Amino acid sequence: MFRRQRKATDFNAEIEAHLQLEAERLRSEGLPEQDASATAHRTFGNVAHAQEHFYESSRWLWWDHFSQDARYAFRMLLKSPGFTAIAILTIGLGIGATTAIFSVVDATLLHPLPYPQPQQLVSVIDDLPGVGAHDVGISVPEWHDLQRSGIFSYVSIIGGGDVNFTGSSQPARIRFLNVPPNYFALLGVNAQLGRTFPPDDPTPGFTLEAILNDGLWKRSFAGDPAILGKNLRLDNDLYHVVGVMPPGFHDPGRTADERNIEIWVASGFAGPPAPPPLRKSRIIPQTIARITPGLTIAHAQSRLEALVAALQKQFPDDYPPQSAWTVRLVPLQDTVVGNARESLVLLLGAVGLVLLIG
Amino acid sequence: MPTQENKDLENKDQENKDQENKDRLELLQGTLDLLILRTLIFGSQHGQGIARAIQQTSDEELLVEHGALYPALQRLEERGWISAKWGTSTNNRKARFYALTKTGRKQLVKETNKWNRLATAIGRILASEVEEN
Repeated sequence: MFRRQRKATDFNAEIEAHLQLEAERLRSEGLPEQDASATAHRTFGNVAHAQEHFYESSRWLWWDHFSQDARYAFRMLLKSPGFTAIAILTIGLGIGATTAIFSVVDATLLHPLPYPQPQQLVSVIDDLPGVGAHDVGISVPEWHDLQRSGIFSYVSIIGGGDVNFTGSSQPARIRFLNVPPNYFALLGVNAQLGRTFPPDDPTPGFTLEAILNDGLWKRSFAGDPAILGKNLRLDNDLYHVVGVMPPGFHDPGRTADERNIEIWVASGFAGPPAPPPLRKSRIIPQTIARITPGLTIAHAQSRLEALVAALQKQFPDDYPPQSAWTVRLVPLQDTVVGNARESLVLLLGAVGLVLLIG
Repeated sequence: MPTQENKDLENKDQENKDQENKDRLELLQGTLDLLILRTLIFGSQHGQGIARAIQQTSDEELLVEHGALYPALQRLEERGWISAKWGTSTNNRKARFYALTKTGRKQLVKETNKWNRLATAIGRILASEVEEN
C-alpha cells in the first residue's frame, strides 16, 4: 500500500518515449516526418490529462485502498457481532493487562530503589542451615559487630508493626517502623521538612522523635508547615515530630505493605525497653546495610565470612558448629524484586502475547 | 489561399479522425486492465507495444486512446499485478517495459472468467430478445 512513489519525471519520460516509438513506427509505414509526429500525438490524446491522472492516482490510490479496506472491515465486523465482541475484548484485555503489568515492572524492575548509589545497598541475611533455619534475624551484639567490621558504612536493624496513632484530627491504625538513628543516613535521603534522625544519636531506649511520610502529613495534618515539634501518640507513648519525608520516599521493604510505612521512630536498641543484648536472642527480623564505598558485594561477602569464622571461634557456646551459622549479602534490589523477576518478565510476555493476538 | 489550404487540411484531418472513431469500438469501462494483462502474457512489452498489440489483435476494431493506457499501467503496477523496468526496445530506444507478476497472472484468470460470464449472460439476453421479436 505504501509502495515507493514513482517520480512524475519518470512518467513523463515514458510518455515521451511512447511518442517517439509511435512516430518511428508511423514513419516506417511511410508517413512523412511531420505527419508521423502529429499523428503520434493525436492518437495519444491529451498528454496533460494523462499526467494529471498520474498525479492524482499516485497521491490518492493508497488512501482509496485504505478507506475501502476500512469500510469493508467495518461491514464485516457488523456482520459478525460475536467475533467483533471477542476481538474488541481481546484487544482491550491485551492493552489493559500489558499496561497494568508494565507499570508493575516499571516500578519494581526498572526503578526498584529510589535512593542514591543503590548498588551499595544490601540486605544482610542470617541462616542456620545446620538446623534447617533460614533468615533467622539478627541479635543486637551481632549488629554491633557488623557496624564495627569496616565492611559497611551503615548497618540498620529494622522492626515494626501496626500502632494506634492519635494526636491528629483523626485517630488511625498505621504502620510504623522502629529503626536505629542511622536509617535515613544509610538510605541517603533527607527530610523535605525538618530533619531526619542524627545517625550517631546515643540516646538509650527510644529517642521519642518521630518522622512522618508525606502521605500521613498531608492526610492527618493537612500538610501543616508548623507540624515540627508537635506531639503525637503511638499507642500510649508520646513522640514529637522532627521531620517529614519527601513524597515518593518509602522503605525498601519487600512487600507493598512493608513499603507503606507512614511513621518512623528511632531507638538504639540499648537500654530499656530493649531486652539485655544477648547474642542468642535474634530479635530483629530485618537488616539492611550500605557497603563501604569501593567494596564490591563479593569482596564484602568474603570479609564477612572471615568475621563470622572469627566470631564462631570467639563464642563457641553461642554458635555451635552443628547450626552452621552463615551470613549472606543480597543486593537490596534483588530482595525487593526477589524471585518475582522471572514471573514478572513471564507475565509481561504473556500479556504481550494476548495483545499480539488481539 | 494558404489559409484555405490549411482549412482543407484541418477538415480532412478531422474527417479522418471522425471516421476512425466511428469505425472503432470504444472500450468499456474497466476492460482496458484486462486487455493489458492479457497482452503481457506473451512476454514483457512497453506501452506503445501494448497499444499496438491490442489494436492489431482486435483487427483494428478497438479504439485505445494511448493516453489512457499509461494511467492504467500505473494503476496495475501499484496493485502489484505488473512490474516495470526501463530497457531498450528492438529499434534501440529507451522504453519502460512491463511484465506480468504472479498475482497479475492470477488476476488475469479471474478477470477473464468474469468477462466471459458477463459476455455470455449479455449474449443470452440479447439472443432471447431477437427470438421474441
